[in-house]
Amino acid sequence: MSTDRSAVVSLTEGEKATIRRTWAVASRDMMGNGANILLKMFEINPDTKKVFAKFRNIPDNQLQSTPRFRAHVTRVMASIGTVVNSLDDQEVLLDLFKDIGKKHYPARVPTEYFDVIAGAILCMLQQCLGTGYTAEVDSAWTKLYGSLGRHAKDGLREAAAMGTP
Amino acid sequence: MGSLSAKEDGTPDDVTGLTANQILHIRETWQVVLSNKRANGFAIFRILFTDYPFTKKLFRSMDQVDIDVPEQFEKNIALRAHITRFLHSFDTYVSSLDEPADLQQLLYDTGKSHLRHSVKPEYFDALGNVLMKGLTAVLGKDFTEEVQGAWGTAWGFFVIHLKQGLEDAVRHGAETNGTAAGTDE
Repeated sequence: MSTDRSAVVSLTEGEKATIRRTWAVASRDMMGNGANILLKMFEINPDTKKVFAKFRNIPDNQLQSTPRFRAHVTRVMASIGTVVNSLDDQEVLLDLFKDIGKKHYPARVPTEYFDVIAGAILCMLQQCLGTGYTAEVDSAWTKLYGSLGRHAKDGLREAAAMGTP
Repeated sequence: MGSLSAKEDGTPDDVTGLTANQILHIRETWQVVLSNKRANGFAIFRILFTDYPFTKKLFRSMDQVDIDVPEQFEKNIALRAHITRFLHSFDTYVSSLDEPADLQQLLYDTGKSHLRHSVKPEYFDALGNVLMKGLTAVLGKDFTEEVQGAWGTAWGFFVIHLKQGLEDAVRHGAETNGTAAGTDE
């Protein structure tokens, strides 16, 4: 069991296995579950939809057939998948987390929005897993996303400080 | 979902030019690449840096790295992370081969996202050669003429939209003097 204090996120082997197993279930419907993440985020905080200049005026029930929305959904799911695939590589995880943040700087996304999507992801998993969404599943994903959010915000602030496009 | 023309009667899709059979070939051989992500990902980037050495400077701290010293090359964290993102990103294209509108948007956005990394649109042309060489190395005899043709057609479509995304981002950046105002998404 890893208790490395310098670890980006200290997950036990059991927690990693839980994350991988539950992500495999969510991955069966990338577009559907991914769309639900974003739609839930918009529901929790409608301001988050306003950041998307190209589809903020399209009603929620038409978004799933909108290419720009679908593309963002695909990227969000691919991004989580990449993280889940890299759980054994702490250094790469840090880079992935920060890169997620940096990518959001051009759009001037407020850092708090990472917390909103975290909640939406947990909702999606609850929906996907039903009774399979145990306290253990919640704890593992909360730990993972806690670290992701923290470092993504750092990445976003760093990009802002550098003033890159 | 998906255009009927590419699916049912073996004719190439209007938008991508791919037949259903070609999509199958690409997906099958892509699984082989993914079966050893780390090694195959590095193989592709080794070809890139060997054949197009100027691309090394696009990656943080790659200048000091000697690509012929495995420990150095594979220890570069920024590169390792990029290779991982590259493979997963490429996987979304392969998954969307039968959804031209989705595929086009994904490629366009990827092109756009390379603006902040000082990539020039023409650099994407280099990647085509690298991809073919990389697939040859990974697939060996399984990289048949038919499979090569399929990948060539797919890449022909990919590169157009990758470059378009980046070209538009460059132009937009020049027009607005680099000040971003909301996301383009």
